[in-house]
Amino acid sequence: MIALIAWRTLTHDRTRFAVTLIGIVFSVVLVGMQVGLLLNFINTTSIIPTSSQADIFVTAPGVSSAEISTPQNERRRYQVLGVPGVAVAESYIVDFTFWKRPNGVRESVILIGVAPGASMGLPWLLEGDVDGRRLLEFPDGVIVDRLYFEKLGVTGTGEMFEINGVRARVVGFTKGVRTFVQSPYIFTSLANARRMMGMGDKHISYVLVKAEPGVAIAKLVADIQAHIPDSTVRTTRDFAHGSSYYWLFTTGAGASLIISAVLGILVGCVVVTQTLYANTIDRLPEYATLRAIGGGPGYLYSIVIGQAALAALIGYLIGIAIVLVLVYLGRDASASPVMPPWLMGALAVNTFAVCLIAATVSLGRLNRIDPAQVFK
Amino acid sequence: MSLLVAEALSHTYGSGDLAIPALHEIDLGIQPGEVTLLTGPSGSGKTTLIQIMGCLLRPSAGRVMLDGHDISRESEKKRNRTRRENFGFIFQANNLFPMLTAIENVMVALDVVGRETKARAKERAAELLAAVGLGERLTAFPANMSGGQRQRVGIARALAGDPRIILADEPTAALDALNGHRVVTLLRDLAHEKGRAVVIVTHDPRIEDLADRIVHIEDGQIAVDGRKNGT
Repeated sequence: MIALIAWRTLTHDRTRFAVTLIGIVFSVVLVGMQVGLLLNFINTTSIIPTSSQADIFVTAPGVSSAEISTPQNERRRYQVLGVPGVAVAESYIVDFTFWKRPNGVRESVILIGVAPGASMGLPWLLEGDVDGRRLLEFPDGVIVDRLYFEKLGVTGTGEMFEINGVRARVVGFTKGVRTFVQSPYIFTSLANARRMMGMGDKHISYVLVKAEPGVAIAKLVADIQAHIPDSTVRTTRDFAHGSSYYWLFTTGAGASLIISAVLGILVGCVVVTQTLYANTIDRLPEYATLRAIGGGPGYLYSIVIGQAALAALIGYLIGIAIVLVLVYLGRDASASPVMPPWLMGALAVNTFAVCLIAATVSLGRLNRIDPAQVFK
Repeated sequence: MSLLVAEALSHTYGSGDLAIPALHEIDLGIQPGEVTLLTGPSGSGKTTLIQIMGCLLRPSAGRVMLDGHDISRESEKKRNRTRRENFGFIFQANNLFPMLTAIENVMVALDVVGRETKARAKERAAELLAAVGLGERLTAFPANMSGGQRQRVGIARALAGDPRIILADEPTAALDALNGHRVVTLLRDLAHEKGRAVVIVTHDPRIEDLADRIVHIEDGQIAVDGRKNGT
């Protein structure tokens, strides 16, 4: 009977019920999209270290983000190789530069240079059954992502472009390597990168390190740092976190996404609070009657909590369906939200928690019901 | 022998300069199988008396005895149980859930009492509604029923816990003469045929003929207490 009363009370006033659902759906969609975008933002801002397969990154001092590097001399790599416990140390270049489309329009890109024989930092998400190392061996070859074809004016392999005034030929594609700064990642060989950037042949951005099996990474980081004090040595995980933190909190982008998500939670909470409270006030004489005929406070609480749970369930199902459609439609956008199963579960928990918190105001009112009022 | 007894019952609302005395040392015994009318002008203390006797309000002084036990000093939890197991309440506004059908409104009371399975509760609710002449209106919503029919649903709900004592507050106030007569006849039959104690607070002189006993209250005290048989 409690479920029946809860359902009928919730849906008795259709307009109020619709407003409740709109509030919850709005909250689920807003929170879902913002957190989905935030996750994507975190993923993309740390994609260089997390996709590198390296254990440790050695950077110039003060480097906060993987995309914004400070040049180092390749001598660093040999210094790193001299530290006991280091199995492999490889040079890596990451830097902003300009791509010139056939129509003369320039676009900002992030050029990633990696040696064809490298074991770390190779292009990821390569399209088709191709060998990335072989593609990197082309003297002027570059690999671009399909998401940015239109932006870069690319239509297929073999096309020629200019990077920083140097000829570049498209030799392969990745699919889904997103960037968050609207500057697509362009993969090429270490030598090509140096040439296209107009740098000397000793220039690198990072040294990527693979530890010998069984070596403690934290200790190796400390050892390399001690050996090369004028550099910054971090685990890949720390560098990834640092990159995400830099873009999230120094640009305001993360704060904006988080504030929007919090606003979504607040809006949902306020709308549900208002509806449940109005429903409770409307039914006070009936609730007082239930108390008078012997219904305990728990019986009344169950009715209101039942309303909150039903509203949350229906609102969540509609909301998450909309979110999934939006995620699907935006799957090829450069800033597409992600919706892993755990986030869907977390959204469900959040929605139920918001609705239950919203119910507490009504529960407080029910707690003050005087059953004697039925005879007034 | 009285089933429910008020002993030296007094009640005051507020305190100090704002104190409003409502009842003053009332002694009253309620008999099973009898319809007792509580009459009196507005503000005389009738409703306060029925609230205290129905375990809905604690008296300032005195006590209420049910089966020889003082129920006015019990904990809230026990008073809740006492109400559930012994009292049926009928209200002037009937307070039916508007979004539930007649049978569902009665089933809610059975659910509160918690003695029946859902299937049995449905059967029992239908029996109770049939007993008050609403066997054909089980699935009607309150908005689609007359005032008299709604009041009879309220009576069926009051009977859900099979109470020994029925307390009714102005059950005929919103009804026309015919429906008012029907409702009180129903309550009288419950008293006479089922042995229940029925107490009705009323201003309605039309129903005095159907009562076994009339207790007139003025200024918080019993002014007249008379039975039809003259005792």
